[in-house]
Amino acid sequence: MFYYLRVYWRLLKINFVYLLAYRLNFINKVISSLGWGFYQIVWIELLTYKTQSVFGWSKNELIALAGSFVIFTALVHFFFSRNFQEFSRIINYGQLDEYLIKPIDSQFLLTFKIVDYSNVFRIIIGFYFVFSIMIKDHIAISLVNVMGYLALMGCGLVMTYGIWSAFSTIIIWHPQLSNLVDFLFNLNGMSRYPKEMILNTGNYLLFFLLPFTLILSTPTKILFQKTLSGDIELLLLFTIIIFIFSRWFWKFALRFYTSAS
Amino acid sequence: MRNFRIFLLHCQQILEYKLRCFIWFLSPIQNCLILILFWLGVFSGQKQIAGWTMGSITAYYFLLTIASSMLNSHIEGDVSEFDIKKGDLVRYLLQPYPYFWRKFFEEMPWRVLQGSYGIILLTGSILIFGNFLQLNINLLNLICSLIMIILAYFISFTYKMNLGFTSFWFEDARGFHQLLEVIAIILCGEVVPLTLAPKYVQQIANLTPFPYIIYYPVTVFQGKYILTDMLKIISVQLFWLSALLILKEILWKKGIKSFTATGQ
Repeated sequence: MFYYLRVYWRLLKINFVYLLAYRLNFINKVISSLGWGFYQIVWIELLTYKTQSVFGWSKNELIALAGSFVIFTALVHFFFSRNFQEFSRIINYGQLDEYLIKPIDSQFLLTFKIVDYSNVFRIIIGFYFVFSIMIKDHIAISLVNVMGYLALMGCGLVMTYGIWSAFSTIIIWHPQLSNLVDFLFNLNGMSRYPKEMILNTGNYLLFFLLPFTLILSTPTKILFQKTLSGDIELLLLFTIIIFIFSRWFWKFALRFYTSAS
Repeated sequence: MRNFRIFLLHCQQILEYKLRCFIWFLSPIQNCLILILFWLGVFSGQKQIAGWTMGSITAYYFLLTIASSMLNSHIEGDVSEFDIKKGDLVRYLLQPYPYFWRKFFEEMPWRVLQGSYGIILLTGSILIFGNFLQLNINLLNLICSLIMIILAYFISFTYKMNLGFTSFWFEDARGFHQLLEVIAIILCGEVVPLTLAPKYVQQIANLTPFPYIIYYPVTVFQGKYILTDMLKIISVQLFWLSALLILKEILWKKGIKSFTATGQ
């Protein structure tokens, strides 16, 4: 474990050096990242313009949920999304070989090699929106709630990592599917809606979307002291199952990797 | 005939990656379905909001998905990243064929294929769930919306080409492109129909070409306008298309002078 933390610390340093070398690229990414961050808030403002509450969530709570989504997406980008974008190219050109022969877990190296620092600013604006809504709604900000919020968001991050990893592993069989990550981004968009939206339909076919809606609605409920009806347990259960499955699936898929030759 | 052959050539190219193309289409479909689910919640307490019912909003998002797959060109990345930055433009310049039209026929099959996925999905949905779309189609609407669709595609394509041409001067314009993409999504009516947005958003949108690419062709198809309104929309589309084509000429003539490509 400590070995992996030390390796990750090194990766953080290497990526910071890259950032300093390509400053214009960094500024560009910050601009687009902030643009997409503000877009999430405008998105929910527009959707709730003609209504004050939906699915038992007030307009302000939905904006806070969108704020959480801004933070969460920034974290996804910071830690691993760029790496998944490289998946298709690496596998297609047979470059996975060099990851497999290194004395380190190949899935870890492949999915955490690139760190995207430009999203730090997005995290800041996300927190600004969440806490400003809390202040506006006169909700007491307690350390316990904030810690719970962060811990559950961490859980959601692990679950998202598992889902992305499992989906991207399919690229081993179909190396041309470079746009699978774009689809995953869209799937992630589900987490900006409350769980009640899916339950409200009563349609069992849509229940596969439930894990996504738990990712952010659960931590936001903790922060806004809303009633939780088994949300935490479900989130933890899905996280464990999906993460274990993604590990197994990666190892299984590697048996079918044929390199470029 | 020559243009048609070029078009067919690119059709072959995209048919090689059908699954990829399908995944591109899945994303807007998924967004559309989720938005419909969200509106179910909004409409649970009321039957009508600003002239929209659940039926008309469902139709709007379905048509929006097809329209955005069919009409939203994504050529700017290609022009900027590969042709201008990596220098692929050289091979186009050597050909006795205008670059603009070559790119047009390169992009066209993608739009046709994605639009077809949309139409197949819509037909399938109607066959399974019955005619859930509240549409008010008559011959006049149909003719006007067909004209609008053609103009909308040309506006979208010319706008994106111009965006790509900015790379003649900017080393890395991706951030700027993304920012404009965000603004376009909002002003195109991809989040909510513009009449459900605040007044100032509607006013800003009408000053840009974006609603004329998707929002108006979709709402005209839904039968929301009378003939004079439709003619007004078509004339504004013609204005934007002319303005963008003039801008394209200027950008291309100036840009090509600053373009350099290296090789041995």
